[in-house]
Amino acid sequence: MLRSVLSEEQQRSRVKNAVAHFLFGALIVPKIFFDAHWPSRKTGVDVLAVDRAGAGEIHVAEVKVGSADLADAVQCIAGIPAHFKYLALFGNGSYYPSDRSLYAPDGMGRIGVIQVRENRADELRTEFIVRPERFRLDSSYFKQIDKFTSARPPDMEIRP
Amino acid sequence: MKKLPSRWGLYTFLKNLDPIAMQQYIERADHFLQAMKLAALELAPYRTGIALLAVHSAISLNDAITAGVTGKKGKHQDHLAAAKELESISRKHRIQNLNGISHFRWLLTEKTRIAYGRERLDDALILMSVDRAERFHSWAYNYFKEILHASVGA
Repeated sequence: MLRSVLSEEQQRSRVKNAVAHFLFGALIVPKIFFDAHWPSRKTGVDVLAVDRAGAGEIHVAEVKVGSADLADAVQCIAGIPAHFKYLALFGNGSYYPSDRSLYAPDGMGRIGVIQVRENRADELRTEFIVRPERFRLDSSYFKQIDKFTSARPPDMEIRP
Repeated sequence: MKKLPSRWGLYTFLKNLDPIAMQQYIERADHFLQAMKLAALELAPYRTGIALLAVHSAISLNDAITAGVTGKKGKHQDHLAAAKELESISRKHRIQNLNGISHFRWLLTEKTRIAYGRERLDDALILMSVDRAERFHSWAYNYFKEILHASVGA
């Protein structure tokens, strides 16, 4: 009901929030950042989660609402350095990215696909339709993520 | 050598003395914590189990820290002695925020009541156990980040 009165940007934000909650539940006390400039100021991801309060693996998620160009979205997220990468789809009908495009060129890593749906009570429900596989990541990114997490307070975290 | 930051900008250097034991304890702590979170989605049928998993997740993570920092395995029958040891490690390494010790001590104090007490546990105690366990994990990864970082293979 509410969905029809929301702008596309509001709907995207709702989906980002749902994806963040999904990752928050699945990981070990992660720090989560919305609209994070990662890995550089010029690039950004919708949701960035760093597991184990910033000491663990890097997870990134991109949100696509409606029937956006998924091939482009997959290509974009494939280039972002992270151990786990996700594409979150909302209102995309039955259009899914091709299986092959989700894999890393060397086979080490697969982009996970999260389906976000709205139930009759206007609640967003998330589930994996493709489970992610871990990507290989150069260790230099740990220093970079440490700098990032110390420079910006997280949007979601468990306070120590 | 890993270094632990302190609030005053001083650094204490740490060598992980038993990375294998530490990794095993971290894995155990993860299992307990994830099982706790899963069970906590539906409180009623798992209540006592949730609280006990919360306690054990903290005990295992503390064992991981102790193994890494001292090279010793946790053998404390009296778990409160483990909290004292963690406090001593934290003070030695100039960690200013000792909130994690208080979360850990609270969980250890409630362990006997949760596991062996005769009375039924109320919801508030179960939810507090979950909260304390998660905050203890957050504290540990924030303040022992450098040493736990290496161990989780991240």
